[in-house]
Amino acid sequence: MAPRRIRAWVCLMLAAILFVAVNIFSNAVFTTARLDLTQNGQFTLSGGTRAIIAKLPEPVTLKFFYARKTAAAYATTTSYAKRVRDLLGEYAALSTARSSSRISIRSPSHRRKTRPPRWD
Amino acid sequence: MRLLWAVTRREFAAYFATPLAFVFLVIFLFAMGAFTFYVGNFYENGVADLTVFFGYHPWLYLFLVPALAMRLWSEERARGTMELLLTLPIPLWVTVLGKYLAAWAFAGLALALTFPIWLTVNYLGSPDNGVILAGYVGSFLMAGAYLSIGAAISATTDNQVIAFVVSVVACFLFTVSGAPLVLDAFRGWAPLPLVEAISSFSFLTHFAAIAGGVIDLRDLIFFFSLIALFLYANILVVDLRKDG
Repeated sequence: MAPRRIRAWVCLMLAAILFVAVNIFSNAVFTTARLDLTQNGQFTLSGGTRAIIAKLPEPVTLKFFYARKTAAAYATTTSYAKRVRDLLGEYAALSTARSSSRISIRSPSHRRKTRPPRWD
Repeated sequence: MRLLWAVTRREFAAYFATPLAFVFLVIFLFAMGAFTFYVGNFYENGVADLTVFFGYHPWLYLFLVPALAMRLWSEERARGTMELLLTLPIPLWVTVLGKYLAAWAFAGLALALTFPIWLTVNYLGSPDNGVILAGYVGSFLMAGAYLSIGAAISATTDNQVIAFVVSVVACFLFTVSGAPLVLDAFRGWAPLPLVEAISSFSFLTHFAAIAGGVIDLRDLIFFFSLIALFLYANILVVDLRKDG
């Protein structure tokens, strides 16, 4: 294989790795950067929610149960879980100033310690 | 920038020099209408929104956009005009980007010509026009992503049929990359973060998120980084071909 061809393949591989890295980084960092174009601001926290979070009298722990390994094969579920996690993250970010609510994320591998609530 | 504008304008005008533009636009609009009103039962749904309309976009683009992209470089190579094009005093990236932007603008024109359906839905009820706007933005970005893949593949061959078929397959894999059809090939051996990363490259989920009314920075980064990746691949392939 000619050196130019090898160099092109290496460049392409590096570009693909950069593409994956950029997207993993953006998924982890830009969790609240979005423009909600819906008429009623369906995907934006309302003033009422903000007021409740600001006045939390005691620490609140939200547990997010998500079977990461099982859900990995279903993009729709993964995407939905991402939205729920982002929402919880927004709650936590809003509360940091005035209350000490906290989000802890548990996966089923931790079930011996923490079980999800039963729906009876 | 002046050179880029000149290349883009020339390429865009070239679509209208042959019946290609009109044939494509008519088929595109006909297919959009047929799928929305007949296959998607737009009236029977009784809801004044364009969810059905946008729901078919990924699948229609899967065939229509590669048809638009297949000629970008294959035609130049088959006609022997590639040599002339590459010897012009224009940087290679300008030529690649110009051709791509012209095709994307043309796809945007085709999408914009679907505006009667927006008028229809506003006449029938009171839809959330913010969601519809987001749907159009998402659809335009998705068309751009499909085009970049098609353009890069078109540069690898002088046979337009091969370019079309391979582009359709590549676009299909990206469209359904979040489904078990693709992920099952990786689940057995690949580490979980890699499987999750492949799953997150699905056009369907990114488009559905935008079409839901929220333009998330992560979705924008996904589409623009994918376009940049394939345009870079396009430049590399053309550059290699330039020297035989």
